[in-house]
Amino acid sequence: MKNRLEDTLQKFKGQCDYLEVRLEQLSTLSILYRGARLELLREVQGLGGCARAYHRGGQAFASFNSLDQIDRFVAGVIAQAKLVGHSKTQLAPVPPVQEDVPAKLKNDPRAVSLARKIEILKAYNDLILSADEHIRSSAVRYQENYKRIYYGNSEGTRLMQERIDFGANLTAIAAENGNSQFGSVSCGSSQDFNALLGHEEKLRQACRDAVALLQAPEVKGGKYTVILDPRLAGTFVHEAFGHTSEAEKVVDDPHLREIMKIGAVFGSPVLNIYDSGRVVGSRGYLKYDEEGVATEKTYLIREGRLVGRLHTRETAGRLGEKATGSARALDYRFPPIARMRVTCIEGGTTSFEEMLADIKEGVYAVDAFGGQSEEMFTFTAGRGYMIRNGKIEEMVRNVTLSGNLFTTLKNIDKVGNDFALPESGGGCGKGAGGHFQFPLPVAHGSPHIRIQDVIVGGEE
Amino acid sequence: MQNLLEQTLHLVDEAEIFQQNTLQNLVCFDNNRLESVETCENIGTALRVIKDGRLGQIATADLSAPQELAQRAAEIAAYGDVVKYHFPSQGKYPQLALADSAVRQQSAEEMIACGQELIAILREVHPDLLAMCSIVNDHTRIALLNSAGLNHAYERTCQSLMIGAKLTEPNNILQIFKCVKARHLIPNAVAIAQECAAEFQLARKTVPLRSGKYPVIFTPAALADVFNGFTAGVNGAQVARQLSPLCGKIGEQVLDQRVTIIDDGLHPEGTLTAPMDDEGIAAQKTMLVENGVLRGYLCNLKAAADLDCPSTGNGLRETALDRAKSYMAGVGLDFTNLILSPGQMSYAQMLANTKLGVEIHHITGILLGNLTNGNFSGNLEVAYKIENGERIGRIKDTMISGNFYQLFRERLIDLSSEQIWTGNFGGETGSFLFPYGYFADIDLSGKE
Repeated sequence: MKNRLEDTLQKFKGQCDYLEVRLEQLSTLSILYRGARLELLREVQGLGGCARAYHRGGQAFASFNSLDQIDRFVAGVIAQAKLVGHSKTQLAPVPPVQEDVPAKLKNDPRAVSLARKIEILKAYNDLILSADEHIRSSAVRYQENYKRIYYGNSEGTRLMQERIDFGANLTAIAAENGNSQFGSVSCGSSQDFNALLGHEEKLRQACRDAVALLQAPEVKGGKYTVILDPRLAGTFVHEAFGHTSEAEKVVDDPHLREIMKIGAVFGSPVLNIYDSGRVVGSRGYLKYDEEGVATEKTYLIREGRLVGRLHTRETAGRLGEKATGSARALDYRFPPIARMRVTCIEGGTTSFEEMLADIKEGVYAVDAFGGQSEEMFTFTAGRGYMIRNGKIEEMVRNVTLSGNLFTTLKNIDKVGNDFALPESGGGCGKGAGGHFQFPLPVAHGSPHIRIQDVIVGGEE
Repeated sequence: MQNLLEQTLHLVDEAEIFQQNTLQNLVCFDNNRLESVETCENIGTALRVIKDGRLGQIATADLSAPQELAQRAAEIAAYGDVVKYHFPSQGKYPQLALADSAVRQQSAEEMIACGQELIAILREVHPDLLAMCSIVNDHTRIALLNSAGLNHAYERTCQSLMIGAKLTEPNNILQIFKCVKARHLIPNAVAIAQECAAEFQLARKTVPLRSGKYPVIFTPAALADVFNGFTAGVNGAQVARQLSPLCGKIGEQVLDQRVTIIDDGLHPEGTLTAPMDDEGIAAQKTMLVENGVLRGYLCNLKAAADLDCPSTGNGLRETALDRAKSYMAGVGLDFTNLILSPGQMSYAQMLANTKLGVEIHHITGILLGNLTNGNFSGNLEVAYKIENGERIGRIKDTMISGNFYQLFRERLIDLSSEQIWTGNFGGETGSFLFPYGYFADIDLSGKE
């Protein structure tokens, strides 16, 4: 693979402003229990490559499985870049690197037999299904990804990177009279298979929560002071701010560039947000991105002010900013775009009790189902609890939170002192350039945070 | 393929080989400029085996070692799901002409010129907006071979167009886009761009709306989003798991009697029309709801075995979220081309009849939450306030929540007499032929 890459780069370099080639071997293992059944057990082996060229500011990309046809695809991509380009190629400068980056693992998931993995997951599944008579079904999902990526570009960078990660979501489904409710536990790692172990107690609690939700009233729709637990706050920072920090949106949009001006106030001084590729062991860890740029810890907001964003070399080059190592692609089938790695609200000073103390009526929203964002973001909590006069009271369901991106960050008035970085299965999805890339391994962390005036959906 | 099948059959009882060869050409304009031109080749093989009554699945883009692949599939099958079905024999497949050489042969230059024309339409009306447009041409060849003697292949083309624009102002991001796709070159792309430009005119003005219950018009695309609750409910796998609210309700009145819903895998205009599904079951037209009465569920081989009924030809290999055809995905269960019957009232009459109400075009966050129950909620990303029969401006910061079954049982005023094709952007995904939907008393909660 290395030789093939080298030969191609030597043959075509100099024919356009910039050329890069990635060749990948990959494998994924997916296991899914639903109810008593092992519903899905499959392995996917990938072998493919891609080439990307820039010429006079124009970009073209090709992906292929016919590796013996690599020269034909590279020639095509150079011709197409010339078709697109009519200005100047502006890529942020980065030093060329040559490095082999093998995976550094505490416990290699690939060394664990399929039989053992199934035994572990089946035990979790059995635990869920026997927890309560109202638990009707389960979804115990495990995915393991392995990749070996050979990367080279016309500037002399040559990298071999190995990446391994796994994630699991263990979900209990309680149902009664056509109403179904969930409770779940998630985990994941890029370093240690043992992160999959030891979740029994949390899972029992998740089962109890799912059953309790069957009887819980629906939250009354309206505007509330809301406290988010670390998992939901992590989802919130990912959805509400992380995606907006991905720089391609800003590059060509003069209005957004004005709003997202470095130094602009986005929150109160208690708010600090960063995105880092250097959290060892997290699913969002990576040493180099898919443009061969070393990753870093990138502060996005410091003391409420915008201080950075997530760049590809092109977005950084065109904005005259520094590359951040945020150009990521799901696999060889996709071009790199600006993506998050591990996105966090940094821990603050407020205790959970202090946060609660002065709330007359509010909602404590716990656990995340997922979220989506445009100008208005939406995310769904696993469950909620009403807060009255500083006390956590009854459980409520269907807690969907939404708000306007620009005002909600400013409405974060308390940041907790209990930072946590809960890993999970699945991943981040993003559409760009006619593709939808999902699931990219990421993570997000946060302490408890408190937000004023959040719209909570539900029947009025 | 034959060779791999023979090698595999030494190790297992039954085997199936699915081969995909897709070539995709894409041009993408963003922020008024041509962003990228792409060519993506996607070739791969998926192998399913049954050994001692258990299923093993593996997929690969590397067929250099068929013996090892067969071996691994057999190993996986030792732990696999217990299957109560067999791979089917050759079916009676309809002869369908699904590949249009005009889509296959359109050059990058021609695609760029088409995109430029559409971008220019939007920019002429609104010089300050940022226009975007993606055109994707897919050409896919599917071949299926199994140990029961099935051996069939077909080709299909699809053109997918997304056109839209955004505007960013302090405290206001407006983004409007339209998606359309067809198996041929899309004939009305210019009209869609013009419609998009006209809508932008309306959307630039923001108007307030008080929280409350309103009559609401859903566009066909917005209605298709709400239908996620229904497609989860008629999914035979969900029914077999007893998680669907439609369990055991065949023959019962589940929706308003004016509602008829068909999954039509043979519709000449549908983008997922094919001679067979990805398990080799001949494509068919399946009545799901007839005059409000539940008539059937969607099944692949597995769900059909669980429910003790025949497969409806809905075993499709698609990736989870973009629902693009992929050998990498397992055989799932999904609709093909979903048809919702038209009603009596025209869209113009719906609008004229609304004194104070809302027209919804796009909801964000609707795929989150508890879909199987039919519940939906999300933000009104693009929605207009209607006053005295006229759309007067865009409403923002408003959430909708409701339930599909309640909507179509208790709140339906009428469906429109006109139907429009709609669907998610991206080639090789299901499409909807839907009318506008007009409903009473929809909960909308906002700031005021």
